[in-house]
Amino acid sequence: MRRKQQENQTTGTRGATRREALRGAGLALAGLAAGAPGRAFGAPAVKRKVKIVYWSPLDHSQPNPRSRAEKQMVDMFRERHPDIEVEVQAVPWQQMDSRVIQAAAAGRAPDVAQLSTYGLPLHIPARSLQPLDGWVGKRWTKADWDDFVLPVSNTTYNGKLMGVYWNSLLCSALWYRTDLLEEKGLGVPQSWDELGKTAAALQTDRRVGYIIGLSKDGNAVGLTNWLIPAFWAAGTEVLHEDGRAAFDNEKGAMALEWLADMVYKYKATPPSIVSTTRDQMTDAFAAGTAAFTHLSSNVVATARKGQFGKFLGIAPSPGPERGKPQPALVTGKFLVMSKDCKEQEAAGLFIEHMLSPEAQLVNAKLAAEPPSRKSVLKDPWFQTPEAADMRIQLEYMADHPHPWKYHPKNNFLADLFAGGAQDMIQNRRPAREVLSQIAKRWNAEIEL
Amino acid sequence: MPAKPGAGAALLGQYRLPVLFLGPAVLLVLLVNFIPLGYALVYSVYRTEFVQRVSFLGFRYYLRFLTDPEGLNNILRTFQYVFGSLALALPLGLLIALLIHRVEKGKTFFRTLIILPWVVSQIITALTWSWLVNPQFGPVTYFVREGFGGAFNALGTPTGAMATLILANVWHSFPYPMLLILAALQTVPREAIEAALVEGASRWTRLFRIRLPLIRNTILIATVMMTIHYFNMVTLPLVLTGGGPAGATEVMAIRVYREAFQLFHVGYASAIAVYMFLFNILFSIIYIRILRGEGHA
Repeated sequence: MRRKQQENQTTGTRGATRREALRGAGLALAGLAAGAPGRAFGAPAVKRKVKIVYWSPLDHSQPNPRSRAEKQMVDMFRERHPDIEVEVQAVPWQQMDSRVIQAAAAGRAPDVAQLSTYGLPLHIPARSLQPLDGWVGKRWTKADWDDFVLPVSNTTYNGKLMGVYWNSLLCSALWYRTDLLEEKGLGVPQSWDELGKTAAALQTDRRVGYIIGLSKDGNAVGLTNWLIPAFWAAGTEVLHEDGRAAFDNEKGAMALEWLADMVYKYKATPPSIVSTTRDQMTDAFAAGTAAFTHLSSNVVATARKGQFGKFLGIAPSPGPERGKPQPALVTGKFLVMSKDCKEQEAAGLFIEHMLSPEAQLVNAKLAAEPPSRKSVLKDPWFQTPEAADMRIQLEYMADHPHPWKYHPKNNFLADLFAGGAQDMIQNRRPAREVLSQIAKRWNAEIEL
Repeated sequence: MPAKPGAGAALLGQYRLPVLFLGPAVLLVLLVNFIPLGYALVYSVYRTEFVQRVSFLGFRYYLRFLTDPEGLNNILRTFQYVFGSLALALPLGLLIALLIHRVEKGKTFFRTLIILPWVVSQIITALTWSWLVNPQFGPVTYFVREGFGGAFNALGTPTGAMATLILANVWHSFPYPMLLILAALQTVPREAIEAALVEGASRWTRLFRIRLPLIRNTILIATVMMTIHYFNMVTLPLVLTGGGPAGATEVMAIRVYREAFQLFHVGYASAIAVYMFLFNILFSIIYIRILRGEGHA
């Protein structure tokens, strides 16, 4: 019963608010947003010296843009709150959810953690978190709450706020090499068919046309970040309201079949994608051995620093029809307070700081991460050439929204999709048959 | 018959020293091995939700694993991986141990050099090999493509992925049997070799009739240790292939990891882990029987 309630909540009311929020982000970007608060939230000091432990997927000793940005955000907090010691512990993002759940089961979870985009729903049945109500946002006004790009309802379970968005994340956009397109006099592909043909045209002995990763590594985000909006673009939802599979139809098969076409029809993608990970997609593009890929907004800054960074072009992901991009899969990373957090006041202040417009602006400038707050977008920096990538991504998010909230058993679904896609490529199995098998196993899993 | 007064105290006194020495080690083994094993046995018969036991299922998970095509695939892939690695690592370890044993000068240098792969962590080994054979920019891919033409896709096909995984594992682990065998070779009595030389025994005869029979027990112990090590390996296969493509390298250890820590099916993962434990026991018994049988012979 409890699970049913959670699932209903997961797949329930979520559409309109997100759409409005995303539109709001676009408006703010265009300088038209109403005067959302740009001030820092009131932040009183705690009464005694305390220490909190923060688990981050970013290693602050590393020189990459994302790590530098978060370190600066945390240092700002340390300056403002010398009475609160923050110990940052790096945990690989692929392992963050399982580590937090295991640590919580052992009563040793960190005070604050940054969860991956699909992670939060998993922690609700695992009871590894505590609600933020009363600790985060207790001094916030309605305008403060409305300032979030993604709706707070996405992170509310059973009426309790369980997490807040640390950033906004466009999970999948088309990445292409501007120099290669120019060299061949080709335009940016506007449909799946065009992407197949253009990628094939740019392929050489030493460069693949298009790369995607079907590995199960990292909860198969290399595949699912593209596949979920591809289902939407093809005209089907991923799950029904009750959580059962909705992708098991001809439209769903059309999306998956395109991957097989990229390998066997257009021959623009090597069969080796069956073992390619999301990180290898990033590496391949950075190394100049792939002309096209689909990647997320949080790795743009790192890619820009690479050898071919100056040739990186970003565009909305094409859909099956020309001129109709795939809806944008937008989510974010979450800041949460574990059930073992004893210093809730300090942890609450830390979370509020990381969400403050100043901290979010640092993250946007240094790490090119779209902020979780609309008011941040009013900063003049967003109109500068350095923010061009961000503008493209924010416009895509605002113009092509689609409601989405991950199912608590998303990991299992992602695992099935990756296994099925590998099977389809490796054994040349029809997409429709693969999807039916996935649907059967998924429905059996959620009915357990 | 009642015990003599003071007999117990005498017995305790007699064994006090061994108990003192062995006690902490036994306690540690109990804590580290047997308690988790006990937990795994309990969890394996329950339906679980994350780490909570929800309802008693009996042996349903055990049956499910053996009737599930994926489960049978996991067993098959585990055997391929374990025995494929053993078949290469042991002879390689033996060969290099024999070579180093013959070296007069610089033995320490060569021994140190050859042991390096064993010192490198599994995760570094996996990342290095995945980079070497990366289909887009790996140097091995490059040389094969330039040298032989055509696409080279080591991790993209079931056979290629398993072969690469085994090779990476052999590279990483052969120094272990090599070291054990090298140490054993140094215990072979010089007199036995000299007597064989006087009798006119050839190099091959000395190897197969004297050296190998005398170090047989060490080779068997290395085999037992490596079998157990390979059965339980998670990091190397998980990082190098992730079990793919299409489950071609999904050994039981990866399945346990995925079920327990990615999908949070702790009960099912525990049942698979118990199977792994039973396989380890089974192979250890077989090896020990061979060891004892040959010892008696």
